[in-house]
Amino acid sequence: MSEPDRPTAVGGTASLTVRVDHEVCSGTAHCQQSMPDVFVLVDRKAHIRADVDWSAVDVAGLHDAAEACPWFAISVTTSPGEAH
Amino acid sequence: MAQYQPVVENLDPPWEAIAADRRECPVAHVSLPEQEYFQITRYDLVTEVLRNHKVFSNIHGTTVAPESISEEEQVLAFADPPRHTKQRRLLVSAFSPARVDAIGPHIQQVADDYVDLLPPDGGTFELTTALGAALPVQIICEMLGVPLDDRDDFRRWSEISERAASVADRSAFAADLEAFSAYLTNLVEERQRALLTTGAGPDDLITAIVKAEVDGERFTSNEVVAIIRLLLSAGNTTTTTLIGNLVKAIEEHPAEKAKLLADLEGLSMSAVDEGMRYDGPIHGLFRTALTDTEIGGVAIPQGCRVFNVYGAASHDPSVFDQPDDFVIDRDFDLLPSHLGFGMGIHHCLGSNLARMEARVAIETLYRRLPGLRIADDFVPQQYPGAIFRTYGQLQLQYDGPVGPRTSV
Repeated sequence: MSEPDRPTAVGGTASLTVRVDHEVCSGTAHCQQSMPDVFVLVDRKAHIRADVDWSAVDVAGLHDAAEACPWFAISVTTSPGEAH
Repeated sequence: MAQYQPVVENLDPPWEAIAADRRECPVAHVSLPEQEYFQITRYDLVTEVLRNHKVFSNIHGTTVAPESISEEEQVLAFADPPRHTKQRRLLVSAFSPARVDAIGPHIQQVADDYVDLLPPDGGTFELTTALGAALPVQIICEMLGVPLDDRDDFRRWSEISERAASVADRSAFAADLEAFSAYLTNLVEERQRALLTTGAGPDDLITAIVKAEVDGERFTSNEVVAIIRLLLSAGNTTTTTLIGNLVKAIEEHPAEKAKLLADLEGLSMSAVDEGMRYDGPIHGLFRTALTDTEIGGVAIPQGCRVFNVYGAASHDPSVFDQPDDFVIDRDFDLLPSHLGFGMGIHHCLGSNLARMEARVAIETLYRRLPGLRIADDFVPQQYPGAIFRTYGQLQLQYDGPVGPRTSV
């Protein structure tokens, strides 16, 4: 969903990519509250933590966080090019 | 038995009664002659309801009187997914931080224009009339593409829509609500005709909504009207009230005011969020259980209504230190969200705009008006009602001379 020129936070592995579109992210922090191991709020924008242990991340929880974001700012891609 | 009964009793400040309920019965069964609901006052339980939008629905109304909302009028805060999701998706970019930042300088100009109208050598003025209402109405009218000549009517209709939301019997407001709908229908149909005949329309939010296609279909004019009416009624008076409640809180806390004046631009943002937490315009909203469920160990039968007291959650001592104090420099990045803008999929769509308008208003007032204070002998009166916390009017006074504009 994110266009390349939009400010975006990106994290993940070869097979899992999480993006937060910073043009719409409004810092409501629902993602940080539901998945504090993955998301962290810095200056009112959700970022992806540098120290995420991706092997332990609950992928269903990531999808729930994306669905619960009031700004539709989060996208979760589980294989290259395939958005879920 | 709930001590706090905002539908029948006007308590100001309400925090003591709310704290007693939060301790003793955080999910309180309230039974009134025309209303029956469960009132929730604990942060964790209010947020549990708000996150569970699959069980707790918005389509039976979110204000005091239960409603049967027709499908066409099920928009945004009056809709559930998937309908809600499709509509909101179309609107988030219009109210995004990036878009709001882009119009920030214009908001500053408009705020300066209104302050320019005040007596240059000091005097008194009523905040709501002079700035609090005028600013958000002008900005949303510009965004929507509503002619500026109509904005006084808009403000009145918007206020009436909100007043109607707070009461069980709306018959006194019926004529105005109908006039508002007729006006909006005309505005939308103009855009739809322009789109049909020329394939385009003015570059405004109404045209964008009229043009938007969801699953290959466009909104009907009634749906567009319902969306616009909701944007206005959810956004205008609430922002006005945010500004008024915040100025009142600042004036009633001299030590916090001194901190703000010493670092106006550094603290204006946390001041706005603290204003929303401490005394936000929307005190609580209702949901309706679609199935039998439970909250905090209390059974909620299907069809029963739940009153989420956002103000109570935002004053929960297990989440916020000194919850009943106004602390202007809280670091909200490090705190769980206050509920001034709600939580979950229905989190206030206009929150970025409201924050910007309130921040600009506060900065402009305190930068340009020396000795700003509540007018001598003026005692703010809290309006009755369960949904909104508002004083309606706030008489202020200042010494002059009015400082220079921030913007050109």
